[in-house]
Amino acid sequence: MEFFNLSAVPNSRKSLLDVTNTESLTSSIQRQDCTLYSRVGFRGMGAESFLMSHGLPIPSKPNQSLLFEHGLVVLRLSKSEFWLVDLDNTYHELIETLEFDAKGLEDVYRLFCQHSHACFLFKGEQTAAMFSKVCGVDLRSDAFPLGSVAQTSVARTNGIVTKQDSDSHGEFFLLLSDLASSHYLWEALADAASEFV
Amino acid sequence: MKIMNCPLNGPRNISEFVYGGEVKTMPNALTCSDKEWAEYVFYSENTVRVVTEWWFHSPSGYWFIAERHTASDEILKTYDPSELFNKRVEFESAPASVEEKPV
Repeated sequence: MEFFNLSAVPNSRKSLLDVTNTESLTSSIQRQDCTLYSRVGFRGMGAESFLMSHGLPIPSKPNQSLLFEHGLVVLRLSKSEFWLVDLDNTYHELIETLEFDAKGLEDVYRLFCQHSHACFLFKGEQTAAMFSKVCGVDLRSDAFPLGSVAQTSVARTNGIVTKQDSDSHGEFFLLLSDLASSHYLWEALADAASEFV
Repeated sequence: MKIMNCPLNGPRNISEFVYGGEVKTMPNALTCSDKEWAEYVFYSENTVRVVTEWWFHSPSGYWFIAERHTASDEILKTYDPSELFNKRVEFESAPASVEEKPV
């Protein structure tokens, strides 16, 4: 197969999570699994200009994120690495177009975060306090303002955490972490959240 | 808790980092002897001094360089590899193997 589009057949994606297991837990922290929604990453010296030429805003420094329109989070993970994460399953077409347009471009490489990473969303006033149980980086709002990104260890698995604010969700934390550990991590974080009633 | 300063992500728990070996000049793999290659790949001097080493920040997939004292284990400096390597390292391709002819 010469080219496989990673965004293909989004309706065939299946979650590894058994969300019903953790639904009964009462907590003031709301959790949402966004793993099945589309996301894509681009890396390379040409990635920044490629995304800008498609009208996407780009965070000016590494380890920052911003919100495009209403529900697409643009993360800059290093000088030349960018991830686009769809929050509400409304940007699939844009992500698919970007994947096709990046094909064959020099200095732009697609990243496989659709299939390598799980994506969880957390919201609620006590979310930063919950993260302090499982994550060494200070995520309280004075140390971790809106648009910050932390690439660190969360409950002993590697994770990317960012904070954003959208119309549909309000202020929220987004956690991207290894897909193979997603079941463990979901339950570990549900357990961590259960003390914040 | 031991903390290392990642040039990209800032101070982080040492458990997030993976050691990547000393920064050494690679001998030409096509012309060097096996001994030279083995020394490059496997051996280190292991004396008391400040060593320049590759380190990897696992959650962000980022390689960088650290200067560390081998006796005190103090990390003196960490920086982006672009300070030492400013162009792509090209590996010369191995010569095509001569096809064996049936006798």
